[in-house]
Amino acid sequence: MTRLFLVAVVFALPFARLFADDVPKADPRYPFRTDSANPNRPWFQPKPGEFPPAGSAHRIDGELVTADFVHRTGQFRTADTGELKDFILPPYGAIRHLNTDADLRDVPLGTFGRFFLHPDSQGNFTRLAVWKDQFTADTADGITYRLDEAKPGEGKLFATRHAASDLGKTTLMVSDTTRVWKGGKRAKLADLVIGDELLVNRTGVTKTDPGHCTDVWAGVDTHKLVTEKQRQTHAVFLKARGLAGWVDRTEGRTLTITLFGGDRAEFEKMWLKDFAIGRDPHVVVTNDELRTWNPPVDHERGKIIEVQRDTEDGYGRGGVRLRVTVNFMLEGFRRRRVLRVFAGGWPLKDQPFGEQLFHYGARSLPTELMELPPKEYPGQFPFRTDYGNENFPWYRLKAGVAPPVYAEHQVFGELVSVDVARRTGQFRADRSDTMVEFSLIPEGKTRYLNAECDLSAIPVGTRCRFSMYQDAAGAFTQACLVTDESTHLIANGALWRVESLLDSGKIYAARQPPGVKNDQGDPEQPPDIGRAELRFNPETRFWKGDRQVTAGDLAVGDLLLVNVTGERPGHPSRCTDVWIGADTHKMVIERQARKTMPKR
Amino acid sequence: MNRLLSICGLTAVVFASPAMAADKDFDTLVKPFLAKHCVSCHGEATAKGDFRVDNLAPDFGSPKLAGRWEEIMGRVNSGDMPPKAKPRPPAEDVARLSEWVVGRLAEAEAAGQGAEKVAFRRLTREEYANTICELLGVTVDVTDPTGLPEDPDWHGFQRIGAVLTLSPAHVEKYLALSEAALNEALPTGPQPKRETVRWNAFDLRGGSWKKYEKEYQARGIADKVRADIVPNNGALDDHTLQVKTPGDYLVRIKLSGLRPAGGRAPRLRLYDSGISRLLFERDVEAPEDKPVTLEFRTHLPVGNHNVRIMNAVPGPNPEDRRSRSSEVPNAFTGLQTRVPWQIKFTDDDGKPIVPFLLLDSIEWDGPVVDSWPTPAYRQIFFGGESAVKDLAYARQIIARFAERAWRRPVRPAELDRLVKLVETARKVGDDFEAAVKTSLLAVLNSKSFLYLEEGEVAAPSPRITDWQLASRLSYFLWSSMPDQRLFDLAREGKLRQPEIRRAEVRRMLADPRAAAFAESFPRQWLQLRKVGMFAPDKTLYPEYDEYLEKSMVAETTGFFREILTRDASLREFLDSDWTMLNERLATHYGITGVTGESMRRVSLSPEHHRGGLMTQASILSLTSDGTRHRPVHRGVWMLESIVGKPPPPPPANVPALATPAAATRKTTVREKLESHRSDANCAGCHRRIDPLGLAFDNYDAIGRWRDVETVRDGTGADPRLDPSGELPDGRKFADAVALKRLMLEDTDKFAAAFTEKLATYALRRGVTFGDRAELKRLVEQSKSDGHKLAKLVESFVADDLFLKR
Repeated sequence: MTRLFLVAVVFALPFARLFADDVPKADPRYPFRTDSANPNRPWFQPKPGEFPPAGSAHRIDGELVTADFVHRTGQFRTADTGELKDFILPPYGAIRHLNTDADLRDVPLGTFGRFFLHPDSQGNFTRLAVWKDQFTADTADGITYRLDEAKPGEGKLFATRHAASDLGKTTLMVSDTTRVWKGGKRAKLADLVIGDELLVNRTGVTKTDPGHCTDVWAGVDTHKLVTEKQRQTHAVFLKARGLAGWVDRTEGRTLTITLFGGDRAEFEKMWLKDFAIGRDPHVVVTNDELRTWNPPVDHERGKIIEVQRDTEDGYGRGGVRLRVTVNFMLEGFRRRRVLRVFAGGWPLKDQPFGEQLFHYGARSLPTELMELPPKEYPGQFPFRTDYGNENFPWYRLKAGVAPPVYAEHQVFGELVSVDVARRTGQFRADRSDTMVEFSLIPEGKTRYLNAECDLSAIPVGTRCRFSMYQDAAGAFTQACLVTDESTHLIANGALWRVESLLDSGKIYAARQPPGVKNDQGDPEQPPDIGRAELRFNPETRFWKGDRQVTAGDLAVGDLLLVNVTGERPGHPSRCTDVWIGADTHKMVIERQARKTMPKR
Repeated sequence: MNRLLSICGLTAVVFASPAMAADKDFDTLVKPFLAKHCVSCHGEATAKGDFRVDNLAPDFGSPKLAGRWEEIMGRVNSGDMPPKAKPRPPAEDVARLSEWVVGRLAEAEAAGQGAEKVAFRRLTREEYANTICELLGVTVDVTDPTGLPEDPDWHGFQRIGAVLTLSPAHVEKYLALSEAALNEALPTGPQPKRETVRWNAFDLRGGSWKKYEKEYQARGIADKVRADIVPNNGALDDHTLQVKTPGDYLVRIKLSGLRPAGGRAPRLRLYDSGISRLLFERDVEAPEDKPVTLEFRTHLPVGNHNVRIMNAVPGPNPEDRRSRSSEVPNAFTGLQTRVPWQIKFTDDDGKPIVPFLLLDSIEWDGPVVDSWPTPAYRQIFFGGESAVKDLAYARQIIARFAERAWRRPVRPAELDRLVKLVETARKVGDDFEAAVKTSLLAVLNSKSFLYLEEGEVAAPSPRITDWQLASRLSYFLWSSMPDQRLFDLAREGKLRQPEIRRAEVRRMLADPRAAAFAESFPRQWLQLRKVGMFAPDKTLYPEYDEYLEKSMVAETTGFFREILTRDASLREFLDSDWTMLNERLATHYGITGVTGESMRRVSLSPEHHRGGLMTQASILSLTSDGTRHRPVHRGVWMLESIVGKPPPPPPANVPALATPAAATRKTTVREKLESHRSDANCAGCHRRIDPLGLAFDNYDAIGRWRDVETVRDGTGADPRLDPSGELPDGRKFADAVALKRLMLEDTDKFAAAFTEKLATYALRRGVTFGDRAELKRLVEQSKSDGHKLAKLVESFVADDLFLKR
């Protein structure tokens, strides 16, 4: 018992900072609030085109539960409260995984890590400057875990946490799902030997639970090997997409571009040789999500006339600044705008589906992946939108005038009650207990399973998207569209594909975009565009055809259409209905479409 | 008897064939040459190839004999003859023989142009349009595809009767054009409704943009949407204008145009591709927030017009996507709304970096009817509403109209035939106006309208009649029909008086219609039609564009107009310390301080390397091809247009200049020509031609000054240019400036050449041996007048030569 207590205390040490009530001090180095100092100062507010200074981000630990690869956004659940948080990777935002740069798609769902965040304009910590998994954080501190004793049967590895000196004993929790790596190969827990230097990543960490290891890497060589493997994976990723950076200044046809990177030394080692003076890179305009429009067509050939070392500290700096002279200046070649730079010889091809904003012909994009004019060109909208113009008022409905697109504000919430006759209802706003009364405007529509319907068709308890306008009092109560999650999936041709099933009532699923035709006209399944944790419980209904089945009927690879409940504090969102397989989807969609709307 | 002999003698001189007058050179030059080099094989004894030269008469009036002389020239020039085994004739002798043959051929050709009892000289299409406009007040779009074919030229002159033939296509076009013109001038229905078609920014953006208009209205910013036009946007989008009623339209364009610092202003161009007509072009400078409205008036025929709206300044390839409109729904409402992959308009401080246009709207307002009924209707149906619409009235109408249209009194028989048409038309049910129009249509399609007649069948004469004189004068200076005063003077027989003609020239040159002469004569004399004929290579000369090309031509025609208006000396054509420039051309020449697109007189300094016609970009450009300057072409042009002694045509199969091997040093065109000239067969002519062209080597193919020649092939630095040379008479010069000085010494010779050109233009035929005395007299007169241009025109019109057929 004493031993167990000790283990718990020792294990908790690395996180003591999080949970203890530190007394913040004044630190004159920072003109802003930090996690450890200057509590009376405001947090650093990121500005477009500027790297946030080192030390300015607020650290929150948690595990990744949703990742949108295309928009570089996601969600994580905090370790201390279990709260669901959104994050957005700014253009320079870095993912540090296995001690090297990575993309969101490289990080397994559930991985526990450190989120270094800046506040958005509303004060919410959503701007993710950098994310580090435990492997990376420990490596940066020179820490490894020397195995003292392994008790796989008990799900425990006893180890000494040490850097240059011992930092204490710790217990690493393992399970049947823990992956063990030795050299370049997968091993078993039983293969671990006393004295092995371990590095781990974990999942399931909460205030009271140290979680368990998802992966254990044994041996210093293994650590280097896995880092190098991830580095090469990311190098291939970047060569296909170009290195991102933004424009510091323009002079005539010369651009000064500071490249983004998570680690300066690593970045220089990886890329400097490809960007030497006199080389001919291609510069491609990019949006803040690092999505390009059409690189094979948009690219502008240039010549590197100077390579500067960027020695300033800050998040996202790759440490290299290029001066490139291009043939033609494009509108996207402006101070503070983001570009991608392809070194000479790198392939300049169409980007994977969804990552390119401009597609010809048959490769048109579903709504959720399309270029968003209010985001890219806010000047086109003389009112506030969900994507910009925060200082403008929202559009107000006018009698007899069809409202313009993007004028509505999207709100998520769980449908609580409806009055079909009066076309009104009530929903609980997502992630809160706030109840909102709403009414459908005369032109307002409701869709369930992508079929137009009455409000009554959507089961109460379903999380919906409400497209809302303000009422006379300024409250968002006037709905023009109410849809369930399945409608959104169907409208976008998207599905969830089961990647793994967890005993804990979780499904890790990949978001699969619709199939397309490639340039030769052949059908093709584009790569996944995201990943998410779907929860279920005994109340969740699983369907195969007409038949209600159980979670046990799910299999890896199944394609799912789902509806979910709302997220409430202490009550994570879970699936209400899961429709399994393409035949089921077809049947249920057609059946819903056949249901006629009762006349009002 | 003596008197009879004298008359016969005089007549013989006047009508002498060129051959008869050429005996001197024939005896001293040609005969000895043939005897020495040709007769041994082509004489009476052998007659190889059944070809004898010993008895070949120098009668160039005979096509057969002229052909034989031409063949002799060709074979000798090419070196085919004498054969290799025989001694070569000296190059100078070959050159002299060629010149003699060419001269005789030209004279015979010119003489042939005036050989008929009555010469019919078809109106050029420009004259046709001007005449219709004068008669009916209607614009005839003769250069449109539905208009008339381009007129052929003879040594640059597009009004030579002998080459202005009439094809069946002409007849169809004349009929269609005149019918359309009459319908427009004499409308019979109600006054056409004037309507305004407005293209707003959504229309102008083209593509699928129109469908977003309502959305922008809902957003409340539809009025802020504009069409942004990048440089060199080419012809990506056509905008269709449907014209239901032909006539004049007022076109109003609201737009901004932003010019980058130190760069060119954007240039709006409206081109109607349906009728292949440039409707309008203008440099535009107006801030983004202060658009201007431009207005112009144009005549549009019925039908669908595909209007291209362009920003006619150089830029990236118009097919490149960065030069195109976006396909995402983000209409231009401000500079920050442009798509990132589009060409950048402004720098990061918001200042323009390329010349760009922002269009708000284009309005097509018309047809504009200045008065109703039309002036032509009131003039032709002169009796008004109260007139009795009978055949007598019709006869009066037709007589008045036909006399003006035919530019002479109408004979009763002709009038009877025309009135008969009215009568027939009435019988088949036409109303009075329609019946009369049928007759007027016949007037406009008769030979007396389409042709300038010179001579009388009934009374053959070497002189033209008074009425014909009025036409000659008006078509010379106005490119249009005589006005009432000229008709009156002709009717009164006063135009025969030289002083009256002098006074008329002064009056006519002061009339705005004289712009036709100032524009048309230099174009034809200097062969400006060739400017841009070989479009300069876009890679070698990226800055070359249509605006520059037009400015080049405008410099030369403006230069001529300035000399004419100021009655300055012909010497200024050879050298001057001024020229006519606009901003575009001044920039091209590297001359600062000239802004705007209108041509104005600009003083020149020696460092500008300009002055006179020969250093004008138009001339330097038309004597080049699309890739490089052509010294030989320049020399030939000088001999034709300035010296007035065109060289013989080149022999067949002249090899092209060799490209040096990659490893050898770079050489100038001049050096390449040296090897060409070392061929004895070429040397004779090239000795005359080349120095005149090489003198201008410091000007590249688009007329820019340079010290070295840019050479692509070979090694080493680009070679320096050597413009020095020697004239055939032994006078040497160091460069173009020195050559111009030598040419100024020969101003009288230039005046003679110029007067010949003037006479060719006015008389609509080549000058002949028979004109030489008058021409000589005119040159002497010109000299005593200080070679003043307007005076020369006056003297020429007052001279007997102007009366000759």
